[in-house]
Amino acid sequence: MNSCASLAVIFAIAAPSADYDWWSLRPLEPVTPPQKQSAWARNPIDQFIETSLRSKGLAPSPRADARTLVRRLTVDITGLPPTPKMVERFAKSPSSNAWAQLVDRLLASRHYGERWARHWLDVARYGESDGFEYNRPREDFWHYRDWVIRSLNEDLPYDQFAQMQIAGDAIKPGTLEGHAAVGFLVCGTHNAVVGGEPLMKQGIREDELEGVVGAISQTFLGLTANCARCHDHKTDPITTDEYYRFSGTVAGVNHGSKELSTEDGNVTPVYTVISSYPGAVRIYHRGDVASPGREVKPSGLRAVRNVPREFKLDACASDQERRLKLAEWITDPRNAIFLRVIVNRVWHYHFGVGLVETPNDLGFQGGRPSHPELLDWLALWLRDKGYSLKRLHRLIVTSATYQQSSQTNAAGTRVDTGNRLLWRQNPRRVEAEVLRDSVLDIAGQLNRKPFGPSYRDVEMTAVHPANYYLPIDPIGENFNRRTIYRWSVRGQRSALLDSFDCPDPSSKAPRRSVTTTPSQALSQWNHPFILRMSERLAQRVRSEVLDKSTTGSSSTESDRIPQLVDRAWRLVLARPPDTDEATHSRRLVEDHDLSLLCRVLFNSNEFVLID
Amino acid sequence: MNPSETPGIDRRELLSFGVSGLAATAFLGMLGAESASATGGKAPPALHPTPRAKRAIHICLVGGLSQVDSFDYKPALEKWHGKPFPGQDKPTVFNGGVGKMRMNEWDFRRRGQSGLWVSELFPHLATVADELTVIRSMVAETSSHMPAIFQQLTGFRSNGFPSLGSWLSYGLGNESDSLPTFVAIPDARSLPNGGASNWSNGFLPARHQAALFRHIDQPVPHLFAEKTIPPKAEKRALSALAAINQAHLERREGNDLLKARIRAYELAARMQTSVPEAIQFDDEPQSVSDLYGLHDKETTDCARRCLLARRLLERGVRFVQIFSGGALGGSPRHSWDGHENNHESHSREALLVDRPVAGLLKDLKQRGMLEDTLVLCTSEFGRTPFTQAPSNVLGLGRDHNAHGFTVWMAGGGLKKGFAYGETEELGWRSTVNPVTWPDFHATVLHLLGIDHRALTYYHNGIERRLTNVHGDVVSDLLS
Repeated sequence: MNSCASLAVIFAIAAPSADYDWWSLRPLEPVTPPQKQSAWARNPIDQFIETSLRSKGLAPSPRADARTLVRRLTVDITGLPPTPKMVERFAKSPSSNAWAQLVDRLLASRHYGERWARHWLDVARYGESDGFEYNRPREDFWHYRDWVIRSLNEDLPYDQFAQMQIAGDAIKPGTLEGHAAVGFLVCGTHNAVVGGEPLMKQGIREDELEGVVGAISQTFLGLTANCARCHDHKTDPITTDEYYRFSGTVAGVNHGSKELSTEDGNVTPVYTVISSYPGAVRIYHRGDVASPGREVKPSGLRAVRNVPREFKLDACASDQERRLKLAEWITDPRNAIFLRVIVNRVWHYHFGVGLVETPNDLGFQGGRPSHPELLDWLALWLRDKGYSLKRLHRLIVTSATYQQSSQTNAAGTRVDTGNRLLWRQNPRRVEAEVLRDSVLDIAGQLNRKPFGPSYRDVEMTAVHPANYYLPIDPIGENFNRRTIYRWSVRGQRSALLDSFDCPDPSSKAPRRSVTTTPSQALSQWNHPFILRMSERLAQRVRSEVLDKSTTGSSSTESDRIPQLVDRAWRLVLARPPDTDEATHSRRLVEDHDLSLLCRVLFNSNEFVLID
Repeated sequence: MNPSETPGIDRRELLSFGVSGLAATAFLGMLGAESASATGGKAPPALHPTPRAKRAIHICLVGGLSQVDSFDYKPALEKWHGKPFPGQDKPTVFNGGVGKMRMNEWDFRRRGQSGLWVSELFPHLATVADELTVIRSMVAETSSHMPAIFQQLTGFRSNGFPSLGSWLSYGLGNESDSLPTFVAIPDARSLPNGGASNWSNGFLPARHQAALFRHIDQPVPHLFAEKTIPPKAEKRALSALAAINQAHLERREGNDLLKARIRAYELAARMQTSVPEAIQFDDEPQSVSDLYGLHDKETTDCARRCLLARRLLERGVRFVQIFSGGALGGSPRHSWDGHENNHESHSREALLVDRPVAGLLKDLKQRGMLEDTLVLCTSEFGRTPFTQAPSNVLGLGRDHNAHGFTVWMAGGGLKKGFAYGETEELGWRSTVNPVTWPDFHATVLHLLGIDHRALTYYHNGIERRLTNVHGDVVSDLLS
């Protein structure tokens, strides 16, 4: 039916499938990090990494230079570029101590939550319209986005972060917070055109539930339970019977809006879960609502080995009772895969590739861990440190592994071209949001206002009852907010963001693709936003350089072209130009215009690459 | 050949634009397979050694074409006209009302050498009946527009899956290095519901998404800067960029991503000449513009789009999707969704497309292009032979019908002037050789030289296919 796998071809050749002893399902056992091999290692992560490198005759790379490190870290943690001052300060004393302080400062920045919430929303398939025929806007859904940003900034322990998104409305009933958090369950598409026939309505409802099952099982468990709707999972130990048990835990979840009180006593509508009584749960043979089978009890999956799957619920248990049990079961401290999935996700964003390359799938079809012991050690470490994601970030980015140079070397390229063993850091292209936010910030135009209703760079038109969203390029401070505050409706495409692989929220994006096309070049080169920001940056550079001339003499622009060039380079690329680069740049400014240089720098490969 | 120097990035995504024809894609596919553990060990798509077609145009009639008024002649309806629905099964329909039966509202005639039945709804298409391959036994999984449209275009019923054109881009690569591979051209009146979800790349890499040629005069976004920049300055800036990028690359040995970006800027510059050339009709003779109806008020929009489609295909674009009809709903309607008055809806819509589409077929044929081009004309479902009205009323409208409807194809590798499959005597339910969307898609891929079972892409735990786990090539359609 809707999302079944097509595996026949592969299984003619490959091994059959995963069983309950599949690596990701095994309970976590305490792991002792290997012996320290050299002075290179800074923390236990490095001991794992260096040991596996040495076993292949490889050595880790030295630490990257100060400027590269600051740029890498700042973009990773906050999604914004470093200021020239930050780079200069760290370059003066790039000690471990200074690094640790920088890390702490960035993790404390409220921009951390904005950056990492974007990653989370990719996984949650956060969309501010329904999709399908009417594609109705969800005016009040941003409360969920804000809840994610706040929770990350406050370092809400990850187990609670998960619980709140599954059952926040039951954990903190009647609160804005609780109802905003369960927005996770209604992030997906919602078909409001159900027709007049009961079977058709039921079919559409089952499609929607499959989406919710997929979101929960992939996000928190790295398992594609949704694949078992029409037949037993072809490669993972999940039966159709279990699919319906699992979907029975969320069968009372409906899309809708609710009035809730804010902290200051006002009442505000929030797009959230509307609970209904789910009733008895039935199996549908082959996923077909015209073929109902026997009744099953709402419960978890046997694949989560150490946690009993039975919820011991009455057949008539309410929606919230079911989801509370589900949240408890998923976040049970014995649930190994819950922990493996999140540490792998965090690793993925720090290195561009996870220890397992498929963050939403740790089943048979997914990747195999490059460092299984490290993954398990991290998983237990996170649990023991109170599920603090900020501590996990700190541990990772203070490792020597993270701080390695991304330069290639002959031995590494020969033995491990794909760098699975991490003999260097991976160079990465920035995401669409980082590109846009960085351009705004560097041009001095970024509006840092957090939270609240999304800014809209689309024109909404209605041909009753359907809605259309077409990209526009509105000008003004309100539109210069960080891209996470952009109205994320379905079925609209922004040429600039899309060409940098910003996903449509209809599709989960646990790992974004990185593509390069002529249309990317056209958008980056010609988009009025880039041209406008190039002019703003030129103004900024001029005012900073010309105002600084303390000599009192009448310093004109043409006298100070080298300084203008130097400043533009430092702002955009966090370094001064070398001789050749300075020459190219100077000539461009002399013969034409400073904003033209700014446009070139915003288009440079170095600007979109994080070394 | 080294695998990608940039982990997490599929090497093919960096190299395969601008260079690939069929063979090159297959070759790069093999390359990718060596390093594609990250994508689940993806195998290269199995290419048929002798594809029957190299490119395709897909005309989508949005809203649901009435089969009993166009290609599926049912004389028995005359007998039942004005009477209650005589079937055994209680019809499940979208809006619920099963009004009295209504006979075909246009006369049918046998056409051409083949004697194919085509009604007077399409007088121009009727003149090329001998080129058509009609499937009269289509079935869809749903009679709700959007899931049905998504299924028609992506194989799945919800938002978020790659469209047929994106799969073809992924499977076949591009022939042109200065034009997009997949182009979608919507109706001038409005976009179909769902907007870009209809031609989305879904989870396939972004380069497989359609270029939307919405405004035919300025089809590619940001092809040129809006504000005027002196050509000399533009040139200098680009060469400064190239120099800076080249020096940057030299410090980062072998980074494919950086090389690909340098190349992308070169190709972008090339598009600045190739796109305006493709959309400029000045060199088309009068005889061609007349064929399409380019200068007639009713037909001009569709004519422009059909002619543009032909010009794009000639220049190496693989797949062009043309929408007839836009938003569902609204008043007056902009689609084939004839709920209130089917005669009015279909008269209006057919007038807009009949001559241009027939002209397109004739033009492709006279250029010899029809031999290796596929033309597809489909709608998401059909319409009911009974009216949408209370049971004792002979209404004017027809409701959605997913149980039996008609689509047609033409071009390379197909039996010409051929009708396949049957509905029962009322034209309501497919009874002989039913064809599903996965069957249809499998057949289209087959004609283009692709085994639908082998064209897969790993996403979230599944090797995804256009045809899901279904689909059989309808070999009876093949010549």
